[in-house]
Amino acid sequence: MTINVENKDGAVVLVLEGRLDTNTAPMLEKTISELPEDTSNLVLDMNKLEYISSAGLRVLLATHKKISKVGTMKLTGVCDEVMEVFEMTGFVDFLIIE
Amino acid sequence: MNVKDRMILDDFKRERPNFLKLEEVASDRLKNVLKGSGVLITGIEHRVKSEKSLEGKLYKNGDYYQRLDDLNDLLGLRVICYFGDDVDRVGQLVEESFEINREKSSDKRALIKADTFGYLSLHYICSLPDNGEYPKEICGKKFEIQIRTILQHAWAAINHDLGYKSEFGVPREVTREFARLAGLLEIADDEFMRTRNHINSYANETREKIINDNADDVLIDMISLREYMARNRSMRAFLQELAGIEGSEITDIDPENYIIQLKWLKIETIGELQAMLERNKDTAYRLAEKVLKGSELDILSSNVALRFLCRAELVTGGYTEQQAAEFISLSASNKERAERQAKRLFNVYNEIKGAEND
Repeated sequence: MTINVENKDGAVVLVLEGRLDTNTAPMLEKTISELPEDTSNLVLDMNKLEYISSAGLRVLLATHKKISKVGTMKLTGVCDEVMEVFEMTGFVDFLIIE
Repeated sequence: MNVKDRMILDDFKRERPNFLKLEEVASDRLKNVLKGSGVLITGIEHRVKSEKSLEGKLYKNGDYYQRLDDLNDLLGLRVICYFGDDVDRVGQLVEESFEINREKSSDKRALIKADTFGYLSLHYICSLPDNGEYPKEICGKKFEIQIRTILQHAWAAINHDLGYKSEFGVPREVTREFARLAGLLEIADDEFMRTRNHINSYANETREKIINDNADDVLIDMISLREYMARNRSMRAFLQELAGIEGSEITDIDPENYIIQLKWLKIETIGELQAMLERNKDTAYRLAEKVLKGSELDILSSNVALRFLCRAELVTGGYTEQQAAEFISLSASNKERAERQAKRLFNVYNEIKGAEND
């Protein structure tokens, strides 16, 4: 998986490409941990994310909990396969998906 | 400007960098103390007085100040709370965390005459604790901490910014208008506390009813649904069954957005939700098993219980596929997606029924 960090309209945008699984979730976790402490507007661009596993869900959950204290985390461009995972796990109920 | 005031001002210019250092240290200490306290505050303000402002203060107060040390508010910090009783809790924390000059500190709430309405705030004149933790150039320097509610703050800020800080020379009508507003806001502060206490009592009573399985008549709202999902034994057992499909851990998530979905299904009380659980849990489990088994998804939101129960209600409760799509569109990102999900839901249910008949 590759992760590109961009700044767009006051938001930190992480562009994810590939598979977010046990092997790659630590990479996303590390990238997020290195963002400025006061990051309050985080967007995960998932247009090119093909797959997400439980390890990826755990990173999203931890990031959601952290960011929601000070701002919002949005997911964009979620494909049907990834959306299905969010739905069957109930993650769709608290993630902000656009 | 007279010689005495000039000397005070010159002293302040020399000392200002130390006050700026003190501002950083004192505000950090205050923030840390409040952070761990659980008291809800809207914010902390702080500032070191400007030279111009000091000059104006010296001019207005004649001979009152003889030396720089006579001024207590060269550094000022302010804590703004939501509720009146939190002002006292913050005051207690300030007393425990800073050296307090009792003689100079004042509780304006207690000082105001019983038949007068006006400025209310708790003021402490403080210094840093003398425990060797801080540089000597800032230890012993006085500063003021004001604590007030957000409504008291609104009154004081508007009063100040409209230029009526001084009690002298203000037209009688203006004084009366501000007094009326102060009285109104004092009542509003009490009402906010009463409302918060009412919410806390309601949450406690609802929790007790749910724990004792005595909540059938309780209407579903964000408090009762949250308590039910967190504490009802049957619901927790059902959730554990779902978790068992893939050996998943459950992460508790606020179920608030299911209120509208339950309402759509005409489930309006905790008793009706409990009945829906009892009549649908087997179908809901099978629907969940169909999509989760083999997925290796070992983390689930606690809301999956409501998700699959609602879907079971759709397929067993006489709803059409079109109605199911309408229901799903309450939470789905778009209509087509909702229609696809509804279609798949009925297909999966028919597969389950077919397998049972075989």
